[in-house]
Amino acid sequence: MMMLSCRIYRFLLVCLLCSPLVSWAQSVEVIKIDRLEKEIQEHKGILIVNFWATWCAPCVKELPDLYRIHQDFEAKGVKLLLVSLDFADEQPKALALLKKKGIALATFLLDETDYNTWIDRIEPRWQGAIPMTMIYKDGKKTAFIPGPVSYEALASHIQNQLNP
Amino acid sequence: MRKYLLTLLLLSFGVLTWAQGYKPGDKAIDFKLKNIDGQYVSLADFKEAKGFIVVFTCNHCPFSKMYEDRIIALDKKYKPLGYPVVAINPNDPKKQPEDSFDKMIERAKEKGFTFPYLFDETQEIARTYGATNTPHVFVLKKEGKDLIVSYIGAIDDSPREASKASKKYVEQAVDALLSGKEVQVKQAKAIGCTIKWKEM
Repeated sequence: MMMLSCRIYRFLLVCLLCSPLVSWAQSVEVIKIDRLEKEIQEHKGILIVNFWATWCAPCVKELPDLYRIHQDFEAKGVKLLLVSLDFADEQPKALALLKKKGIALATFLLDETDYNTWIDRIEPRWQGAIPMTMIYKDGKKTAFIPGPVSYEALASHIQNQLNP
Repeated sequence: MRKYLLTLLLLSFGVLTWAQGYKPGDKAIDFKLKNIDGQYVSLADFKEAKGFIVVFTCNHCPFSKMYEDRIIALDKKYKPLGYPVVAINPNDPKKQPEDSFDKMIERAKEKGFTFPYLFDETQEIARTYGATNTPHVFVLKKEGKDLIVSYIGAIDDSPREASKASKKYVEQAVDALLSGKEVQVKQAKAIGCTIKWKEM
């Protein structure tokens, strides 16, 4: 009896350890602009910040490519930060979409609807159309990519940053 | 392979080298674009107008849809005062079938558009003006033969709820122009859908 419960316990423990971390890693945290700026400034290494929304077809289409970049370059200290511009009450919708796409990342939803007050703080050249991707190295801008982006373009930019 | 990557890189970053389009104070060009009734429309056709509220918009974009009623209201309020709305769809229907010319006709009928809804098929006007989003407004003021860009950007600061808008950028700009004053806020940014550019 004792043996059995021990086995069950061990089995459960193994199950727990093997369960995919995906379900834990997926999150959409609702934040304000100050928090986003802080994240950008304090990140050591290469940071890719992509602005997207569930209602934006080209954004949703490029998410898998962005995630592949994250997977392929994570070991080299490259981080992908997805920033949803959905309305705050649509956070569940954004989370559901990331889950559906299998994107296991901690992400943000920027709850700032007075757009004119913060767009320039991110990038003065940006007119506000999404998708838009910024790349930073040690908190400094290295690229501003308005519109859709490809895996290849991101990969070569990252390679250039890693091996200047 | 390297060459291939370089080409891709150039293609992807080519976006950055596009002309920036107009800034407030620039002279805007007129155009001749097909309206939903099949007739071609130019700003020069509006002999009585003092200026224009040119709106780059489309059928599919949720932000454009949120603003449709407000665009109709702008036309209703300002057309009699000499500032009619002229709406332009710059999107490539190959990329977004929702934005085809036929769907424009449908959408205008559904919503009861009171203004021209033009198709910028070559996208030349959107590029020249520097439109990047839908919706994206350019308020133009007639000065003799010239069209002076007097305001660029968002309609107001509350896409979702018209009633909560505290900064009505377009209205403030047109009101200032009508009373012969300087436009206070000449540019205001907003989130919107990227214009669906044709593949080069």
